[in-house]
Amino acid sequence: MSGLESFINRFHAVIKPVSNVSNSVGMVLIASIMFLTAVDVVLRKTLNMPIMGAYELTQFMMAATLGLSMAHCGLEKGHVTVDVLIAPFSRRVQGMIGCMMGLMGVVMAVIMTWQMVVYIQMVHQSNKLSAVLLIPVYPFVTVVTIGIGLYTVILFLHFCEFLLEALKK
Amino acid sequence: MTPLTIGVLGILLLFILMFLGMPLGWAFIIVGFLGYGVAFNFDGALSLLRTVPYTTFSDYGLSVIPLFVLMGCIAYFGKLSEELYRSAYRTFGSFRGGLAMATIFACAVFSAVSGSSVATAATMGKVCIPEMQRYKYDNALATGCVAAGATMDIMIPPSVILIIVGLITEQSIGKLYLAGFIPGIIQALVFMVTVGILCWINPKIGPPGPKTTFKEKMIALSKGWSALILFVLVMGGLYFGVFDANEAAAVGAFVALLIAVAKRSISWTGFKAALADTTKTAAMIFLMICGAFIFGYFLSVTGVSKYFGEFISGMGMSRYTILVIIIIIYLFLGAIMDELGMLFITLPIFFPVILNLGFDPIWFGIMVVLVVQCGLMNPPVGMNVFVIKGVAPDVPLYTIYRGIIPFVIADLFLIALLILSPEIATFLPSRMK
Repeated sequence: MSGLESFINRFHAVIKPVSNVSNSVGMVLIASIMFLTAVDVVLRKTLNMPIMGAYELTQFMMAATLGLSMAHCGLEKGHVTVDVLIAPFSRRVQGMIGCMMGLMGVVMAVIMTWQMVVYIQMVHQSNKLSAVLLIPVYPFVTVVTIGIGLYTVILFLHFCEFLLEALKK
Repeated sequence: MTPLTIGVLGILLLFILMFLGMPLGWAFIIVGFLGYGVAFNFDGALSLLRTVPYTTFSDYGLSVIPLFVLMGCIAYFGKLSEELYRSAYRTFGSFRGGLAMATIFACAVFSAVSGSSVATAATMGKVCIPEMQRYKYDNALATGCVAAGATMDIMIPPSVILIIVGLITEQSIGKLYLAGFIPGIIQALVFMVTVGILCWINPKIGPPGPKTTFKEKMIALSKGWSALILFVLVMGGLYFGVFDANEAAAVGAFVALLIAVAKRSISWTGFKAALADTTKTAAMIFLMICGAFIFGYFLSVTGVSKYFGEFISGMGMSRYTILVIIIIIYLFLGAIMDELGMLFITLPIFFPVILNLGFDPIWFGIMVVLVVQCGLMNPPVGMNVFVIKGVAPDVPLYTIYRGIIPFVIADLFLIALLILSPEIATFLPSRMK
């Protein structure tokens, strides 16, 4: 087994449980949104007693759900790609093309994560709160940033896998 | 370089990256970021990267997408589809080609509780194809009718694709849902008639199934109540203004879960699988939405969409000629691209053209979905075909494509019908409260 292959295997063994836990939190949150909204509708229509702040709680939970699920989707190769034109090439050529695309993706994701860290600071400093429940917004921006950061790591893993493919004789 | 040139080059780069296998969401983000930076400035481009992910993920209006996906996943893992097929099977099974008609009927009804065509193809394929093979149905008809029937999922509400169309074109999701209702029913009928014609020409491809009495038919039909309740709840609530689309989706998912639990057809593992599928699909869609927003900022700063609209309108062709050209472009793209990607790339460019030409935006939304449906069946991408191949590995890909051809022709007939009678789509939304 080559050094790169062993690195990918170890990397995978570490990142998979992290992405699974992250996705599990997302699953709990999406179920919570469903229950919260359904109960809110029932209470509002029957007793005229809506749940205070249900709207903003949905927003926060939705942001966290999506941020935390991004890495797992990436790991499962769930993101939409069009591979019909590169499919006829040899695995090595596909690996080389994948390397280039992967590197561009990683660089972009790193820039995005960096900018989102800047955004956390901006939101924190501006003391931005939700309108009804006065919940600080920055922790949720942080969760989304962590999710994007984790996804960046997955993109790097994919880049390494393509590199391995490209280096195979 | 003028902003317009940068815009055109950006679109070209997007296609290059996409066809080189880059995830579409990232292709949008990279081109949008670089293009915005070059055409305007990089401080602004960095600001887009900073703000768009969180503002998109926390957009209340967009929460409708994962919630409708969840409703479909619960219906799928709650095995509502099997019950539906059994009902339809008892009702139509004894006719020539009846099992294929039952499959289309069940696909149409399942579409009314599910938002994903692939989920419908997978679930219906597993249930219906073995049954049709047992009754010596031709493999092309058996697989073709499931692949075609499942595409109705993106027309019949609640459809995730219609939400995406509403999002990009800034049209009411409620109106789009109502607009898809009648064309969806007509499509199901046209597909069933197609099966009837095929079996009339060659009776061997769809021999009759077991005979059932009228009473048995009625009892079987009454067992499909759960899907009907869900559909009436979601669409009735939207139509009468009881709740908005987000609430309809959440209530629909919740009631689907209650029904599945009451029937003991969903296990804890099944519920977890439904949640896992939902988060995966939602993450996939939202990365593209996020990218499409950044790409959209780039397009608007370069003015490409506006220029393209003015250019097409100034060509002096009749508006129907332009419409047909747009439809042909969609059919071509549908053969090589995923439906979501195709919508995110093309709608920001074509939609202003359609508005300029004076077509109804809701009608065009339905038209686009109908054309995208064809793409789901066309080679070489045709996502549903690959799902069916996975479910029925013994049937060659060529046979599945052969089985699909009559349904593609039926879809082309429907496209023509929708052009000739736009009221099919616009009647219900015009009466929405």
